[in-house]
Amino acid sequence: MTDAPVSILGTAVATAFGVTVEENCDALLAGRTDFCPPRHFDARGRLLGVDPELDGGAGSRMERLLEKLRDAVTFPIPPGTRLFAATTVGAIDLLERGGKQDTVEEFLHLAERIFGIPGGILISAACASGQTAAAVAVRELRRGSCRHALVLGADITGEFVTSGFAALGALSRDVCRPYDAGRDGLTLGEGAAALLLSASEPGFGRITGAAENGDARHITSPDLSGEMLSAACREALDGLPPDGVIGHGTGTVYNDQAEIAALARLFPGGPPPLFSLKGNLGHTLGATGVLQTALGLELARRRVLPPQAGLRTPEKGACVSTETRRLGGGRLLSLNVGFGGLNSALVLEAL
Amino acid sequence: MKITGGALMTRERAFRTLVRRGSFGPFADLNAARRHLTALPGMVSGDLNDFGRGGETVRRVLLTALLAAWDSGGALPESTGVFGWNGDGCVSEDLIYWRDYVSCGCEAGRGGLFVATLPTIPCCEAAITLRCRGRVAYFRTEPAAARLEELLLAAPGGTYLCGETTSSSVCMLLADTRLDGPPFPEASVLKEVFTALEERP
Repeated sequence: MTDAPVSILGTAVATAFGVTVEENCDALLAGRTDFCPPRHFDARGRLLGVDPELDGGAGSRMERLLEKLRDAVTFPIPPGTRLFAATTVGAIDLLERGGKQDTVEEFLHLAERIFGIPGGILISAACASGQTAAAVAVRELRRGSCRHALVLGADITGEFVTSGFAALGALSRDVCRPYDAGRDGLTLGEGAAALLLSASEPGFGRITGAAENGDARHITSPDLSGEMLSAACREALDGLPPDGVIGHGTGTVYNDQAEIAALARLFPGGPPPLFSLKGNLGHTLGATGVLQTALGLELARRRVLPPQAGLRTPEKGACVSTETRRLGGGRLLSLNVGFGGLNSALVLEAL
Repeated sequence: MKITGGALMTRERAFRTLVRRGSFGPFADLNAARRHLTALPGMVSGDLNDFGRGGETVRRVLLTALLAAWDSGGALPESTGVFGWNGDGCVSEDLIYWRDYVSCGCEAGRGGLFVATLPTIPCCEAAITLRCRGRVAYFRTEPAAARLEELLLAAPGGTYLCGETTSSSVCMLLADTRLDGPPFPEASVLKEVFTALEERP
């Protein structure tokens, strides 16, 4: 996608670190992590990136997360804004309790009601859902289907997802260590983020490129050659190198290896600085792409990449560091990868 | 946008195709359907080695996707994207995973059942089988085929395999968004689009 950039008019986040982009970025730069055993279900001693403020209450944890995100929104949402909502499992705790079974439909209804935007579109593309939703919104804006788009990504922690990833052997024994040579799996997290986009109004940032594709190789493992992920990056970058990369960086052996391989293909002279926020917040699934964009834009504005939380010995080929790094400019490449071999690349710029 | 092929699988495991006006089955089970359909002259070669890996939804989607590709004239471009739209999503797979987990005393889930709880998994399995390396996503919108058409037209130009899966049917259409064609007929579900297109001369 190499058409005109789309402006970012507003960003909002809701995580365990707080409800402003600034305090979340401060937490990343301080190397803060908030992994702890959850109180809302028995995680068998595992640590998760949980937000204790979401505990309690009768409804879905997702409802409380979306309300927290709504309260974090400080920008006006113009009338006629179209909603693009991303998730993997939605309000999955309702199914756990024997309630509503169509948990993504319920998520969409909650998002529409809480943000007051009917007629929303739910986008699910496994762990690439967030960036895929942003890319779909960008294209709808360029086509003129709407004047403004609110892209929202959210996922919660719970027994359903934790037991599932445990069954796949994908969880870290301790906490995740993205791009570390000794990494042993991911740590689940929860959070939400929102972007207000426009194709016609100026903003404080912009999305200049987006591309998605699929490996078409394996249902759970990424292609370790990074072939298609690098192709998505190449298409999104459109010939202009980034100043840094917000990676997907889950901390699983295969995911990180595929990303490193893709970046090596793309930058044979040496990859740009790389950072994954999952070392701080855990893997927030369908939210991560929107969180990466919202927080990445603030990091791009400050021209810094945070120290990589969890890092001890960098994996060969990964340009990661335990130190905060200055960036040469405000142009970042953000990556999402998902089950099914899904790849997504998004390029954002701070203005 | 031009619809270049399509296939519909009914509750009785009978199949119809849109362009070639084929009609197959009903079949006693999905394995019988697979044997018959993959033996059709000119059937596209798809990797069905893992046919038994997926649940019933995945297998129904795989057969319908293969038939839709056959209906469009053969192998699909590698850049073909696969979109899932509305239908039942992965509700039944969610319940299968969770009930199995609970029935096992909440001690351990089954990874194979968990993977199926993403609504994009049938699309991804179809993409792997047909070697389609374009974008893959699942969309839930208001029940109007015009919304799916809008999403397709906004996506980068190319070939897209679009599917809708319910407990009673699987419908898959192949659309080339670079070619001109009439708009989707007014419909609330993809199956209605298929039947309306069947009636066009």
